[in-house]
Amino acid sequence: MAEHVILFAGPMGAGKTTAIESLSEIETIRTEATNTDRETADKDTTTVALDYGEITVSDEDKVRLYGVPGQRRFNFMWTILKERAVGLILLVNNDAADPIEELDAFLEEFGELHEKGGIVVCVTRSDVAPTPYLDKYAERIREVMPGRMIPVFTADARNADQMRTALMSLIANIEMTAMIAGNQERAA
Amino acid sequence: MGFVTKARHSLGLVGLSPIECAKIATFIESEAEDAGCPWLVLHSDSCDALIVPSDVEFSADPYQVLIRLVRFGNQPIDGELCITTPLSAAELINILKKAQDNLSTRSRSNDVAPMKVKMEDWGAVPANDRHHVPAGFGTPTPHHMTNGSAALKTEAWPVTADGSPHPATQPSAMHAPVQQPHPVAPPQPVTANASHGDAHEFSAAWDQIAVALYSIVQNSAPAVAEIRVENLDMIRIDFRFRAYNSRIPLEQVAANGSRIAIRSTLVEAFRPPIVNLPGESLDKLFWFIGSQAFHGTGAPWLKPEDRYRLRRWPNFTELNHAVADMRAAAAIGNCFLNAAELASAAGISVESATRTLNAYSLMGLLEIQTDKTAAPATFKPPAQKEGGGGLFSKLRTKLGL
Repeated sequence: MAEHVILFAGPMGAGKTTAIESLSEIETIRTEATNTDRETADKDTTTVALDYGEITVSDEDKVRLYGVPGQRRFNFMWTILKERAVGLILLVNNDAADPIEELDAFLEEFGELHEKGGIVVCVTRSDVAPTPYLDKYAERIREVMPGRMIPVFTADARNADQMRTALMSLIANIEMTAMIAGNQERAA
Repeated sequence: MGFVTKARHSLGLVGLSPIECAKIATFIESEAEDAGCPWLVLHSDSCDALIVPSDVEFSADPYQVLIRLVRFGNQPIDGELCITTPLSAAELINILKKAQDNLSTRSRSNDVAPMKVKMEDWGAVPANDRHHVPAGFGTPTPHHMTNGSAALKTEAWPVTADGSPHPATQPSAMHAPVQQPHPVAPPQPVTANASHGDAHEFSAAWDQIAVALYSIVQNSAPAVAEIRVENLDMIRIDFRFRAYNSRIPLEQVAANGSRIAIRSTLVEAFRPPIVNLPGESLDKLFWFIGSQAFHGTGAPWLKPEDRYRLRRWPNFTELNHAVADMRAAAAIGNCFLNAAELASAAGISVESATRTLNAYSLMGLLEIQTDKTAAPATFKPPAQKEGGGGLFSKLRTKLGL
């Protein structure tokens, strides 16, 4: 069976666990502990190892959804999960103190996944904090990853339709990039 | 002055003072129709003809006619069409006739249909079409929208049930005065599913609305606008906040529009918004109008020989989109393509690809490549494994999209 590992990364409180719950066919496996960092995210618990969900596409294909802990002190988990991943859905909460800086930090850490497959950025909580606008994110991505086209969407992690749109866009971008590269190779 | 004028060409006013713009617009509204040279006036440099001050360095595109405004103390430029200040209606009409002759003798590289626009003067607009100033807007008197306005209506060129031109569209009937606007059918619910579906239902007047919106966006100045659809509601747009308000779903407004007018005005940046913020994203409106307008042909400002690439993906989580739109975005997000190449890469029809380009362009998402020497891009989907389709297709089936 072909397995397609998609990571969900982003700062604490961006909605990674919720996004996986919105997409997963199985009950999400969560590894949460009491949140001791109330300043960064005002929620009771936070992911300390990983969240896991899956979508069985067919007898031959399964999409595995892994949520990585948002706090840097758990970044040893990032390395392990990155190796198997073909794509990344990066969630950034717009009401963070400096969401663009968060974007920078996670792209620096996970940017290599664009070469292996693809990345989609989902900006959450834009209903609470309307700015920065998507253009700002897109502009920053062009600066730090020139020549790469990374989709950026506003999203509510609780909204299954929106998370499906993000996932489908990620897969579409991965497959299209591969097709274009293949065509260019043939042309050369 | 009625509202039966059919504009065949658009006239862009570039670098002129507000008084000069107002004078020209007034002359055209009051004199041009009778003189047989109606024009649609826009504040844009992507029109068929442009009026630009003679002391401003400017080069028009090959398809455009450049008219120089020679202000007092300046010298006319040899070989160029010129009008002088103080502006007079007779001189303006005379020069526009020359421009019209010039345009009609040119063979444009892209076969764009001539503009079919009915213009109406301010007095012809129903009283309730005046700009309503919301409470707290900051001005005690209504702020009339007179700048850069283009009031448009559907062409009264109906077709019969079998799609052939209605007898009223025959040449003999073309000059018959339009008595009254067509009655508006009561609003019908519209299934809002496929983003490009039911395009034939889309009123031709929306083509002109798209042109006007594009002109405003290209101007980049702080502006507000109102699109009024008779017997329905008004769409309010505040370009400063990239937001709009409409109480009726767009699909319903568009499907039922028989008389449509757009009015826009420049506003100071500090003025309060005319929409209830956050409002709806302007991208949503542009995506809808852009993908439905022009009946599957390229927007007049797009050149078929150019290639385009996305600057950023459209925000699909807020747009009414089809799954195929994602593949199209993925294709044109990763390389420069024209409509035919986009169709080939994304596995959609050329018409769908053209509509997609129109919408992206109106939304301001496209970079343009004008390099004519680039080899045409051809796409061959990778061979599929047994079981058929890539992960995208399988997920699509699985998720029922």
